[in-house]
Amino acid sequence: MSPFYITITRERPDLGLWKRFYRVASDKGRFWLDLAKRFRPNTLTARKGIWSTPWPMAVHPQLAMPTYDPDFKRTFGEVSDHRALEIRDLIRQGRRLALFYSGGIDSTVCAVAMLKNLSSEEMKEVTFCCNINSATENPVFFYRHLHNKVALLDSTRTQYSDLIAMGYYPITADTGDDIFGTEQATQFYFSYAQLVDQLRGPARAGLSALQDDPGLMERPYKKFSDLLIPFLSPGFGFGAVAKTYSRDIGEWLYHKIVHNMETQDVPIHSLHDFFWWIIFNLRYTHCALRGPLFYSSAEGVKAAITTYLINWFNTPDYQRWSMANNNNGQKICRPTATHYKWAARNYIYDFDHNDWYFKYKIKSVSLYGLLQNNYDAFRMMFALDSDYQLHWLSDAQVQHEFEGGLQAFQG
Amino acid sequence: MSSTASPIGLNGGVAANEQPELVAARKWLEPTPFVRRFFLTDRTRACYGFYSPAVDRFILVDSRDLFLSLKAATFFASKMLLLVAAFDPPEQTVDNSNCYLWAPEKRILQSAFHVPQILPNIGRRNIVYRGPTPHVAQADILNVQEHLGFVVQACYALYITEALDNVNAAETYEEFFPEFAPHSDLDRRSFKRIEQVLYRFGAIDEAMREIDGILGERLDLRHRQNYYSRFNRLFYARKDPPFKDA
Repeated sequence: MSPFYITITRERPDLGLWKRFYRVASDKGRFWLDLAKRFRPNTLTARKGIWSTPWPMAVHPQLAMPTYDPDFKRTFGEVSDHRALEIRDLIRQGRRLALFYSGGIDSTVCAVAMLKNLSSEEMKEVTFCCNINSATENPVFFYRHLHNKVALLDSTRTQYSDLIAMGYYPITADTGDDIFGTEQATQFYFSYAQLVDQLRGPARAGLSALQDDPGLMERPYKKFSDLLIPFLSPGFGFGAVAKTYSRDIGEWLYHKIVHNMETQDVPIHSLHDFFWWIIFNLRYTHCALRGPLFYSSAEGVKAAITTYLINWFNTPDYQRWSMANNNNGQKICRPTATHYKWAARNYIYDFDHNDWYFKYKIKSVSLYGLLQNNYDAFRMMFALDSDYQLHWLSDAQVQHEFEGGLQAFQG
Repeated sequence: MSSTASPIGLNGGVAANEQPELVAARKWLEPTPFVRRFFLTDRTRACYGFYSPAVDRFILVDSRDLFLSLKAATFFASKMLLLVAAFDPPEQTVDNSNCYLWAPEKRILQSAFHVPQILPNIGRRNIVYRGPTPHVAQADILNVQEHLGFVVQACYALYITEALDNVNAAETYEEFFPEFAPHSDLDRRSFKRIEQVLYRFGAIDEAMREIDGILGERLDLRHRQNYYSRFNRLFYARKDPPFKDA
């Protein structure tokens, strides 16, 4: 078995499995388990570059990274408009579509692209799957462009599998963060002062001076290793930096990531590049598959992934745009949450001219409900193999494989 | 036990010779110290702040009412997410000319809140001077402050008017009697339409005219005249909105 996807969560103490795995694991196997406390869950797997995992893994063919093209010239807007035309072709082939719309930047890009490029007749074939949180996240857009203008479905009662059963092809914007390199990056910039506060010695003064630097994210990442190591350590918490953390693990992971970066051909230079690469390479599979795995019935996983689910940002063009637009202000133009996804903000603004959203929109996490609905699956799933079979930790054979991988893992 | 200490840990004084049933009857007369933290006794200085996680600064400060502040933040959420913080006024003066240089001592993770609420865990309620934010221009902050100020003052005017002039309306109790369909009449619709304006408005001037248009309907009715003039007096300190001079 070479799984496409492996997930290690920390939430399974009821079975006593964690302790058992921990006992048999090698040093690096324990590190791997502990990373579940840092990444919640640990789903790190590489699409490119050297990256060892405790179990041999395969890249899902639909999620392979395209070749790097340094001469890629299309703008984000052009790529998005083109994507909408691809969607229009699906409608012309007779497909009914359902966009999972959260009101956040990524799904608003999808909505804008379709509203710009599809006729009103074609828009009748697109249903917006959303709820009151989607409306409150971007009320101006909701009132101006969706309310009484497009068909709506309540997303709190509708999973991907429900939509597929109703004859829809669901559209998700789930890999938007990967294209822009947000998630870990915005947490790091936010926690920068706290991370610096924990430093001692000469490094502290130099890094402290950069705290308000508007170009912080474009500085070489290697200058920040003293901050990145604690940031990558399991003791790091959201919004706070623990006083004690497992530095060994952070240091190991930092060097593992650097090695991965140095064994592939996409240039990685800056602090933001570093974070972008983590999500663009190491978290991409998770971002793309978490929806069909945790927000869908288990029976239809293969069909959902291979046939029905349309991942808006998972195209060669978006990914090539992402690889060719580092450190030019397109992904993030200041190290703060109001300036991430800059090209996407501009694309939306050009359509709706909403200054407030453009200037002050910050991240709202929209996946809590998803995980709450499927907590048991989230907790007990281990892998999706290349035959689209799900493997569960409640299965003794799976536990055996799990232990074997951790025991032999050398990092 | 001293004569001023409460046997139930609350703040009401208890005389040594008071009977237990009298003490029990008084046990709900005083709030806990924890509640007091949100309602400071000294209102001569700002003690409530509208904190923007996006800007990481206070946008506006006030000292009047915690829950009307929260209501104003709820309306303003269509433009910017704000959290309402209750804080101990620091030694230096913090008012609306400088509050955007201040922030809670403990930073709030920018993605932690989706809708306005009272800010928990402000760090012993302390706010600290942080200086100008390097990421948002002062002119932009002042523009936000102006719009928020408009919503805050309109909220006070609207809810005080409603409490004074909305005579015998049973709307508040509708949720307790789901058997009956919600009551709707011109007054109820006007109130809700003004709330809609405060949530959805773009330009302040347009919002003022829209509110005036709503309140100005059926001024042939005496109670509508009262409502209209009360709101204007509270909001503009005059009988008519200022744009009617022109």
